[in-house]
Amino acid sequence: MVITASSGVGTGAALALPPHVQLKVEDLQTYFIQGASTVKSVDGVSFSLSRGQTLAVVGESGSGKSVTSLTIMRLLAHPGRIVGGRVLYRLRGGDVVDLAQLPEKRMRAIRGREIAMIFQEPMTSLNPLFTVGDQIMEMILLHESVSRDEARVRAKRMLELVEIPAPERRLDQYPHEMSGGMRQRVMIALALSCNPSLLIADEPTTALDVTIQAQILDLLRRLQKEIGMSILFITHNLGVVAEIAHEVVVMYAGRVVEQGLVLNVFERPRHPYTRGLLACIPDVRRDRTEGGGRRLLNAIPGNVPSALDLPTGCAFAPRCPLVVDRCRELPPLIPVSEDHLSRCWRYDDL
Amino acid sequence: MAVTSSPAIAGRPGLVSLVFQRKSLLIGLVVLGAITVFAVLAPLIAPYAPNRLSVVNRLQPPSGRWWFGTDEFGRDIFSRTIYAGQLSLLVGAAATLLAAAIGITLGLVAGFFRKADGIVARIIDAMMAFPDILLAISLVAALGPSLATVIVALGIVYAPRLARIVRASTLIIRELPYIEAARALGVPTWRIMLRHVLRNLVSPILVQATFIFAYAMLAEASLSFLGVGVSPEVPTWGTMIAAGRQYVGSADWMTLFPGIAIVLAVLSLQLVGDGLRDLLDPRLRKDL
Repeated sequence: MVITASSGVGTGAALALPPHVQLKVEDLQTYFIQGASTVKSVDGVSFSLSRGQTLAVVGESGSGKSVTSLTIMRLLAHPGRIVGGRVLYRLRGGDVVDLAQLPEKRMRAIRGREIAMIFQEPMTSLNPLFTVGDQIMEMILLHESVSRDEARVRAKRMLELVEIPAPERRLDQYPHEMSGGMRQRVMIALALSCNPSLLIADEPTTALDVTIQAQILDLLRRLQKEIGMSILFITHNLGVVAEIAHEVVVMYAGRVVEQGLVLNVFERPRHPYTRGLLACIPDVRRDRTEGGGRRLLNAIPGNVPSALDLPTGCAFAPRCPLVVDRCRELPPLIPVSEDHLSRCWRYDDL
Repeated sequence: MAVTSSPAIAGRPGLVSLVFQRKSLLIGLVVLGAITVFAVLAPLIAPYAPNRLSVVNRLQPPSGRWWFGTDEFGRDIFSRTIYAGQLSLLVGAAATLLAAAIGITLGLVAGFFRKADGIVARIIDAMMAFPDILLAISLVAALGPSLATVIVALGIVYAPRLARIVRASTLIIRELPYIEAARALGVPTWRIMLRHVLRNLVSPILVQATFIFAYAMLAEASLSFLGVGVSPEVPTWGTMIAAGRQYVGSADWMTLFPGIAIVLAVLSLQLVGDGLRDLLDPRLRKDL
């Protein structure tokens, strides 16, 4: 992972990316401005995603992880605005564009074709009034000039790709005739039907039960290997991160608090928030051996601060067990080791 | 449902059998169909020309010779009733189509574009605040009475009803995850509006349209009754009832039969509307 510690971005005429990089977000700032109040949902987020790799963005509700993905797709709802930063993306042809600046018309050609997205709710992300085949064919016909027959053949092949049995019959079924896991497979087939280079998965397994969740993660991993796409995986579940991601960005109150290779971050988290999140994952063995009858789950005390009223300095300070006076001053992202950044003054004490 | 195939895939019943399973829809379609056939084939079915005068046979009660009786000029009520169906159905259908065209466009635009919503919603509210008939009368008065005027006036009067329903539903559907998903997959806005949103509104629109069809026929009858609709010589159910009003005590068949025609037409439209709503929803269809 190429880590840019802070904003300092040159403004060269031609945009460029290192050859292995698919997406590079630089100091992205997305604010929701309504009258006099401003919510800084995404405040100076930077990361880069290599081709064929998976980057997970982790955080609680309101941390800005979903807004980050919607910003990249330029699907922000009304008061949301990109205030600063760049979203450099490598098109299929090799050209690099800044998605934050692209006109809506060009953006539309990129959505679905270059960048596809799957959502949390497989139950409601498909239109109930059209058959699954219709919806996949619509995608293909929209972005490519092929005949209806050819689109249908492709749609069937997509269902095979996501391991849906009897694809020919499934094509003519409506979403309500399928289970949640099946619908998420259809969503994935829909998203991948035009061979996107980047798949944004916004909590795609959250609404599914654990066995189906594992199947979907397996499927995504296999498809990534076969197709070679990059995946930006939005989740609040660190267990899922460990399974699928190569790199992880931990967000808190709109800012990145820690980022690095999954191995490094899980091995030795360098931010108290990440450490707290990891401690929140229940472990049956540990919980049983440690002190007999303990039943309580770990939790980080307190709540995410209101986005309208962030504390000055480190936003995590009010909940932090390691808080010191210096935390009233916002720490930068500090390189703590190779490919590992932490926004904590006391990273060395962790 | 497991990953293996499921029994839900088993064949779906065809459209015809679905219609036959819904008694009220079937009855509605049969009655409406019969009215339409009578109206369209009136020149073949009618025993007399609708305007053939026969003063000697004026105000005859229903009999083997004049099935529905005759009016004050000796014209055959049966012939006039089925001829009148032509105009009444035409006015109803044309006004409904016009109302749909205006109402759906306004509703979609208002529901989709925040900026347009304020203006369009106010106009809709203002129009709804007017009594239907009063608005229609003033429009007809402004445009001058004729068949086309009546159609245009009724189309404008009933457009806000559809616009309001389309707007409200669009506001809901616009926020559904599959609309966001469609956007994320690069579907252009106009296509989302027409294919994804409008397609979802087909059943409320159809149901409302059948009601508007019925209201428009009634309103045309009212306008004709009040003398601001089509000219009195042209037989419509409204003009016939208006003409029979003076003779309600002595020759009630003059108002009775066109009245029954209106009731049957309106009732059958309502049955069809309700039946179609159920039929068009794939989730309800499954439960049959």
